[in-house]
Amino acid sequence: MAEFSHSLLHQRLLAGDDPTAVSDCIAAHLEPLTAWLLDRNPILDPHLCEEASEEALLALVKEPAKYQSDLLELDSYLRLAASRDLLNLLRRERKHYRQRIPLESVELSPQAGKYLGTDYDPALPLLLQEASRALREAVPEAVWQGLSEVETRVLELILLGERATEVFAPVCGVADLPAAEQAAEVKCVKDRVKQRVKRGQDKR
Amino acid sequence: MNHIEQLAQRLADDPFFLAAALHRFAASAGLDDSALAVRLRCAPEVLTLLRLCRMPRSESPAFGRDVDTIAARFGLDGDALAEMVRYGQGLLRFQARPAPASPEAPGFLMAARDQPPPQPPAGDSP
Repeated sequence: MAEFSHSLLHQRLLAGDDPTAVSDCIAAHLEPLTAWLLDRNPILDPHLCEEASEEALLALVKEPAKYQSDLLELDSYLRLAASRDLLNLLRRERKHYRQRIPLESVELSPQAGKYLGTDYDPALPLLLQEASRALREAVPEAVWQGLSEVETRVLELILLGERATEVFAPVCGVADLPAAEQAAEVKCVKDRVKQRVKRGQDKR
Repeated sequence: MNHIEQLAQRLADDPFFLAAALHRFAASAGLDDSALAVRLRCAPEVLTLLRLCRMPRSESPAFGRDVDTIAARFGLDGDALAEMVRYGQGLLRFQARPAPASPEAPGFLMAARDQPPPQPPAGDSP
């Protein structure tokens, strides 16, 4: 019987020499991840939740190095990624819906666009709250409390799988520096944040 | 069809997954899932997990190792799987090639046709 331990699955994905690791990972995580997303978002179209969990899993199996196992459990990482993907899907749907509404129906509506998708989506605030909560729960609260504003934003980006220095540089306020200095400064902040998370998790 | 089966079917166009090669082979050979499973000597239910495997690397010897790993894991006929994957990968490569834009472009083929006989130059007639 194959071993489905989360960390072992991730190691198999990273090693890249076992084509069945991808299948095992999807088989182990697709149903629980979708169930978690459906449970947290009962007002949404279930197909959106299914699509979001698929996208999160496909991103992981194609780029397993984006998940940093020293910071998060694999299922926490997948929940974060699926929440983010769900938000993106909802935004896309919302934009699509907005584009389909004829202009005159907005102008003539007594609601003047309020319920026609111009700036109101009843699910979006809830979903944003949910994504933010999932992000928060991934790391001990004491760690969040001890971080500066910049460090908090950096940790959020790390948890969402971001790796590009050019994304971190403006957050760290070093976007104007030469590339090599930017990279060094960003690395310094990321290392400091990771250390805090590690210490916080050791104390758990 | 459950969620994981739907996903496996949806990945038929994603060359990262074995689903893409199996889909092209099956379509080309006119096989449905039952017939595909018979060729691979497995139960049709196994096809879902099989489709979700990473595509075997195309270069040797990694190709052989990947196919053997998959075949051993799911108890398949390794030779049949290797044949299907090679065939499917070939079709994928062919489909991924951009269509030639003009007769001068490499790969542009023209059908042979009869040429009208050349007209004798004016003034050559007696």
